[in-house]
Amino acid sequence: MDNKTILLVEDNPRDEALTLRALKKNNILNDVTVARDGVEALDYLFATGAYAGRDKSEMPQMVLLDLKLPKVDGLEVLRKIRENESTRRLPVVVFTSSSEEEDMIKSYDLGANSYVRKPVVFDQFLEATRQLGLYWLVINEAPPRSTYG
Amino acid sequence: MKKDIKSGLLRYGLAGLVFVVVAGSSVLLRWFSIRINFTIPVVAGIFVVAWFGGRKPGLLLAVLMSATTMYLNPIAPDRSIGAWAFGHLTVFAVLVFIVLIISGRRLVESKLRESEESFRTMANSMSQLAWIAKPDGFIFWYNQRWYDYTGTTPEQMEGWGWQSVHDPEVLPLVMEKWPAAIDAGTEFEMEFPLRGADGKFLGFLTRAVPLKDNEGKVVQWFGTNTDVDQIRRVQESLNSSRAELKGIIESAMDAIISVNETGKIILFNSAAERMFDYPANEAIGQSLDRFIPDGLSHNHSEHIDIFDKTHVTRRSMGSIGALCGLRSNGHKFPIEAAISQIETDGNKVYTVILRDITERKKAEDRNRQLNEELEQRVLDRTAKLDATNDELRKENAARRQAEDILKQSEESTRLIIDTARDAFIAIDSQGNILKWNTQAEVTFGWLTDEMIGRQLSETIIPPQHRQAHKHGLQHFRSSGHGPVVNQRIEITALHRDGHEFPIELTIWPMKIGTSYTFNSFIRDITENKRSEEIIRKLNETLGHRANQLEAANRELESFSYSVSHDLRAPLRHIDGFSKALLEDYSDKLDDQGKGYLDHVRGASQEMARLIDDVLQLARVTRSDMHSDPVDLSELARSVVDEITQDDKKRKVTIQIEDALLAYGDKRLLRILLVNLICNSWKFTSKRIDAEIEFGAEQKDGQTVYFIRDNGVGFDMTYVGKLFGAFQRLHSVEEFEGTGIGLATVARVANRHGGKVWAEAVVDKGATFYFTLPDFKEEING
Repeated sequence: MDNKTILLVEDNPRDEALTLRALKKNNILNDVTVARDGVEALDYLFATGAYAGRDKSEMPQMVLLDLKLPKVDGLEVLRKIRENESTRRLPVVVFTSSSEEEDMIKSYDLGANSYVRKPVVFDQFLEATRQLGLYWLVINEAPPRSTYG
Repeated sequence: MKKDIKSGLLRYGLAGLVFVVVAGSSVLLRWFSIRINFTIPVVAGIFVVAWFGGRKPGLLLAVLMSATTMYLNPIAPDRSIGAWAFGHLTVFAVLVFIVLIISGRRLVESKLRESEESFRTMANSMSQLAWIAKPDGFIFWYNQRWYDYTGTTPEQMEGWGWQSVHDPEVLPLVMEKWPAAIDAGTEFEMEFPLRGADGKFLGFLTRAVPLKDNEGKVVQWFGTNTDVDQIRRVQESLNSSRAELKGIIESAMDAIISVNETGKIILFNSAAERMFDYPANEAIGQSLDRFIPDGLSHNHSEHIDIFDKTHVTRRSMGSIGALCGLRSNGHKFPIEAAISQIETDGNKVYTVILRDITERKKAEDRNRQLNEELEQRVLDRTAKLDATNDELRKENAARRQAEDILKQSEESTRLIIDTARDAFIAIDSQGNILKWNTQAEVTFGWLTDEMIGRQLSETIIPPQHRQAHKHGLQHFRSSGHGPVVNQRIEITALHRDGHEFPIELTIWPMKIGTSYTFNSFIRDITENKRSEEIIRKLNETLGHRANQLEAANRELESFSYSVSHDLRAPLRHIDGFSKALLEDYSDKLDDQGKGYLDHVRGASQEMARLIDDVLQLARVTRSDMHSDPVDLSELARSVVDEITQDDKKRKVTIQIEDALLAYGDKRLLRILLVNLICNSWKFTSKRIDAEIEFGAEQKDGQTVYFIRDNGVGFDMTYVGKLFGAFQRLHSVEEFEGTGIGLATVARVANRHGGKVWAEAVVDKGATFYFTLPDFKEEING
């Protein structure tokens, strides 16, 4: 199924609202699933817990991952994604307000595909989401489906 | 005198008696008209008196006798006066002649006896073996020493009996040389072994001198045998004394330098080498002035003069006053000196003991008191030493040479030890105290006289160390080495008043014959220890502070982290929803409403910038510095590239000097340049012909970097506020900014050990200068 879902892992409802609005403004019409903490995100990806009934073969096109999450934080989620055979090649864009070099280093070390800082100024935020969408959903070649578990 | 008078009386009395007897009886018989020839009695009388009484009484008697005969035989009327006179004179002359011969003979005999007597007396008080022989070599007298040494009796030794105590293998040679000397009448000298009472042979140097009469005939032989080993022992004693002196001098912790009368150095010990950083073999022969800074050599020779004139043999440390020494690298340092003088054979030798007191000046006052007491004791010792010297000089001629040298070196030793600032103690291998110098009295509270002969361990060694000390001595005696010798040790000692205190000491052993003595220099380091303790406590405090600083830094770290994340999010939301409102509900808002929302957005954006700048400043303050060589020109160019990328519209003339190299943290330096260049970029925005220049110039040997622009400048009146955080000299309307940029620049420069400052003219431009430490300084510092 050519779903092209975006998994947005974001705990802050305001950030969630702004991101969704930005995506809409940029005519990115994919379905967006929102996970509000690390546990939810992993449950979704591995079809466990709250998402037990989900079809695991349906993987999102990309993951927009915030780092500061309650329960299980973003870096842990990233690690789990990369450890698991079924999710190993999933494109993950770390999308965070942190400007700490450490976070960036750790994210890349754990195998993030990209690291983008959320700009404070909304116009730039808009531009950032547009470019992200354009790149990851349109230009980038997603890994072949058959590799997913 | 009485004896002389007595013997004189006897002798003249004898003469008188004989005279009375002979002359009296002659006169008496004359009365009875008996004429007897008195020639024989007269002559006999003269003989007797000349022999027993001596020359003068004999002559007197001769005169009296002649007078008597003249009286008894007056001139006959038929005889001529001349013949009569001639006759009597002849008689008188004969008598005188007899007297002279007899008394002369007697004189020789008595002189012989006298010299024999004096030889025997001297021989019996000498420590050598001695004997007297007849002209043919027959020994008829040996001194007591001979019998004591050989354990023989006069009967065994008489004549040629001495052959029995000779080594049979050497005897033939002796029997060749000795008789040869006897025959020739020449002095005899030979070395051969003689057997002692214990059966062992010792080497003796034998000398025999002939006593000759006026005709050159040998009358007697006087001989001596001197224990060669004794000579050797004196030599050894001299050598070991020399070695001891050298050992003391070389191991002393103070510098010891001796100069002769002309001021040339004749002794320069290891401690002096270290103090002046000059090798001994080069120092010797040089003038002492070499080690005195120019201004003070006059001072120094003045001291020597005063010293000379007052004939005070010693001046203690500190009383000479503050002096300065000159090291080979030209560095001056304060020294304390003690100077002493000895005289040998008319030559004066001055010995100076020096200590570098750069550290010790503080203890001077305390010690000055003690030094005054010391001076008094030292003066007393000088007097005692002088008295002892005079007595020693009265010894016999043969030994005086060797013993003079021995005494001189011992005196040097004693002087050096006495004036040394450290306590000097020597013990034998049983732990009994042999030597105890003046400073030891001060350090331990016991007087020298009380300590000589006592056990070291019972007095100044604290109870807990006594066992170890005894074991150490035992171990050394049996193995010949020990763990504590020839190195500096720190341990505690016991003062007379009972308190224990820390000391530093060096011990070195000296072998004398088969036994050892142990010498040591000891220093009371109570002060040192106290200072050490203070330093240790300070370091501990420092450590705590450093730890606290660490902790504070870490807190700051996590604080910044959360700030960067959590503070930004709400700002983003404020801006985002304001924009959303503007966009989605623009038809419902009038211009004023839109304006309000613009303010809201502007404010949140400003806050975001503030957060970024504050974070940067904090990061600059606490981050670790990694210093490397950095190409500032390249860095500046990349910064300019970035800025021009973001702001393509502007045309600015940029001039960057090439190859500006500095040493520092690349990241921090980048932040510095970004801030300064951005400022210049910002403040030249109102100019069409904007110019920015980055270069460097040399000022007072330092490299000063500058960034110059022709922008709006600032009023120099407020230059002091420029680098404070959040300080701005322009309103936000004129130029946007947070006021933190320059504070950050200043912080980066400070962390590199450099400075920043600025000059400007309003509307003409501004120049910002900064320094970074030179590469060379970094290496040396």
